[in-house]
Amino acid sequence: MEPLLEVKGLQKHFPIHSGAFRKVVGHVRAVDGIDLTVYPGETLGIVGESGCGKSTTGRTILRLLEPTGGEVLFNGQDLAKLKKEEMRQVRKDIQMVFQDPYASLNPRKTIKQILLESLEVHNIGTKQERMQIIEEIIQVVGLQKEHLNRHPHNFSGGQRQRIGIARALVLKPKLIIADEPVSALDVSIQSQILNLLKDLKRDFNLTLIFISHDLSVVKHICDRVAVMYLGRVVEIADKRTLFENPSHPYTKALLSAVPQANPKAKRERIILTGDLPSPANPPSGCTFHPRCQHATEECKKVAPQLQDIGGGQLVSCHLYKELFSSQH
Amino acid sequence: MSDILQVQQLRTRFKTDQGKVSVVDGVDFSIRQGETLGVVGESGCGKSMTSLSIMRLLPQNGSTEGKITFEGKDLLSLSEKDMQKIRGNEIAMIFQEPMTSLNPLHTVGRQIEEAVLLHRKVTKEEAKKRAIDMLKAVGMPRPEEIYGEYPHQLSGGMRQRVMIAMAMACDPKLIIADEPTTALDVTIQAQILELMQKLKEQTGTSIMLITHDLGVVAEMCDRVIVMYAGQVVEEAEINQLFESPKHPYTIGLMNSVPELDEEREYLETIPGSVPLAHQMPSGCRFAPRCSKAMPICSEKQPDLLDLGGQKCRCWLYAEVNE
Amino acid sequence: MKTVKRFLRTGLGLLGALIILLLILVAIFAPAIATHDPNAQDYNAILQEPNAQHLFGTDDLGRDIFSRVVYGSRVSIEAAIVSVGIAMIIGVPIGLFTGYYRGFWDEWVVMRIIDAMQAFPFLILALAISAVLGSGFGNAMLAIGIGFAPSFVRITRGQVLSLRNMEYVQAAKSVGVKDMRIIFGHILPNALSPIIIQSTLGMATGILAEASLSYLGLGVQPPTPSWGSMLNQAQSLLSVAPYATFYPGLAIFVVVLGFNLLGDGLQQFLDPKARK
Repeated sequence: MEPLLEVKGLQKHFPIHSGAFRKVVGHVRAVDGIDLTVYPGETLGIVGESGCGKSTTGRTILRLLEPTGGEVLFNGQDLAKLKKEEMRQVRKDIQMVFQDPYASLNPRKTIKQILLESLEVHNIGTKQERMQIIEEIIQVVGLQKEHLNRHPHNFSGGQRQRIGIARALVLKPKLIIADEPVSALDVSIQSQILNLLKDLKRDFNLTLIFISHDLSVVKHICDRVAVMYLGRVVEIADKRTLFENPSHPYTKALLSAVPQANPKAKRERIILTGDLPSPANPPSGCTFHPRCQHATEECKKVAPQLQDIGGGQLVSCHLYKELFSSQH
Repeated sequence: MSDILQVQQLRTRFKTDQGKVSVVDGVDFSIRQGETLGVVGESGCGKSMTSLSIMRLLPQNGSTEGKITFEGKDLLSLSEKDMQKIRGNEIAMIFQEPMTSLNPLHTVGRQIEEAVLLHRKVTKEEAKKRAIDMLKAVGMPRPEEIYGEYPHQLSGGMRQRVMIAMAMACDPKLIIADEPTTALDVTIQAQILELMQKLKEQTGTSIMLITHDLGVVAEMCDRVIVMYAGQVVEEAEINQLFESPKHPYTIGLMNSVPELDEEREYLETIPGSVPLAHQMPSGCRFAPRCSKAMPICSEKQPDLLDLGGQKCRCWLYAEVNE
Repeated sequence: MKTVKRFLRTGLGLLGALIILLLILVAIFAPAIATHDPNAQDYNAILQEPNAQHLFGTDDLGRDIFSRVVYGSRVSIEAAIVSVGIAMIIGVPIGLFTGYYRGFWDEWVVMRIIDAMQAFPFLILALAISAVLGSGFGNAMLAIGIGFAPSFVRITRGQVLSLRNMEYVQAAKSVGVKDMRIIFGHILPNALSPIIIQSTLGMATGILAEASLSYLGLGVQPPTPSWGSMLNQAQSLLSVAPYATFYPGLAIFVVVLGFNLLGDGLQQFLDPKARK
């Protein structure tokens, strides 16, 4: 199958300024060369802990942040090279759902204005047609027409997130990037939104990139999952393989760290020592080596590459063979 | 085992523009010596206000009624001076945001020492030794150096360790931990939970663990109360709760969370959202969102019924008792 | 209702609003309120102390000070509105664009010029610009407006810097909204309240600056009555006729106080944190 989106060697470095003349003294390597492929109709999850670069990846793909390097091929076009106006046209096809339902809606606009804006800026339909579209969409996300004339502050967090999803849907995009769409919501509301996303994906034949720190949520909603650590992808696999047979030591530790709502479940937990290193000054070699219990001399010196270990599973670890075989 | 803390008919109100509003409404529970009690609920259920009421740290416009007995003392009738002797000494608190709950202008060591110097008759050197011991106990690398560092020099996980060191410095009999790991990443959360478990085993202190995360509850707690809209709706031993949850809200909550070890196409949902404090339903507060609601549910408030060890505030179980 | 209540709670702000309202009414109904023609010279009534005929007394040309103060309110309001208007027309767009686009122009050109301008005390700056432009009311207003523009650039730019990273601005961008629409449709409306507060406080400064420039002979030209020029003309008479300086001075004081109170009140009123 032809991929819908192909990310090749994507980088986003933020300069660190210092001194009176704001000299650049270094770079935060928020995203440091990642490759991703997204196929039509699938949901790709990107997981990782705070500071791993997962949100930056989403925003750089959309060029809400300008990439430092790499290619973003969407329908064969390199988004990273598009001119501003060309990129603006492409935005019709790629939409975003944001994390904070309180900050992502302009408090001074009505829901109608918020939803109409997308159609207006792309000159879609006549006035009546536009109204028809947004009246339809607002019902699709589980709200009513009457809600259109209200302002965001009249809605609860869950309802606001529905509005945020409606905004993303209005232009009938081919790809939606959802950046932590449920992490600001209470658990009982979280499940409403997750179910809605599943329904929409089926009904609108959407392709989704789902960025989250919550492994259980990612497992629930995604088809394939990429695990990020310090600006790089350390493992990608389809959901079942990743959760049943994680191959990167970081993925294993991450999975074992999730508390489970079952007091009788006894699992072996891998407690990682130390904290996430700073992306401004990443460790040499494999960036995970200072926290990895298996690290060797090679890991300290040579950065591993993502390699296919079969079944569409890609792992970036020198030791996957030894670790992999010890599992079976 | 005897109860270390008993809360009876706790009612916390706030004066607001909409008049007096109850955020905690008739809450009863107790914590036994050496146990970890989980307090579970979503935002606005009153779980944090319950803990602030116990500590008597409510904002100006809040007031408390009821009875809070800690080791035979009625906390609500103590003078402010006597209460200060208990705060940070016999009952300590750990907050969610380690960044805002540490003073950025003081060194880590000074903040740990402060409680010790306040509550114990010790010299400065002894207090310093205690602070360094505590930093060691919470697994800080280089405790002597960290002693002189400032909070901003530490990572989120490290700061939470400092918070725990502060809380443990006076050997409290009860620790109230309000979402202690919510702001942390999972791998760091795992470190902190393991640490709390270890310290609890070593010192035998009781913990009141406030959280919205059922996974954290399952891992840490001996007993659990589930709160909804300012009331306790269910109380149970940990295994009881996860094996046979009784209240429709508890059941809904459990089924709406995706789990790593199971596969479901759709999650169950609880329709609607939590009622606002000044617009509480007159009957059962969960009735408008409950799929099992009966006519009586919207008319009369159910009591917290004792179902043989497990307690539940629901009309579904009313006949069983009669 | 709730908004009105909240505003009432800021009582001093209300007092400020009342003062300004009164000033506006006086300016509009000046012909009806004034007891005399403000420019009519009456050599039979030179330097009279306040009396029933002349409430505030008369000046050295026998003009009625009360009537001149009443008519002077028109100049003051004009000064307040025109100078702040000019400052906003210059300052707000510069603040919006430099804040939104950042980069070399923002950091090394505009902000450095503004630093340089703000290094001078405001009045000295206005005086210098006014001296270059020449005397007259229009030029005085332009001078005050230019002198006052940097504070609007700063306050607008500061708002834009925080708003441009708000998720709803990012969301508008991700939908494909053009920059102009983002700047004027999303950022400006949300940046408005501090700008409004600043403009109210600026009006007080504007009135004061106009009075100062007129006092120095750079503003309103005789015989048009303005509070500043009245002070200017009456200063030599300070020992003989203190009332001739007292009343215009009092008028300036009350109105400047009014604008400042209103500004503070608005600040509390518009501050979302105070809305709880």
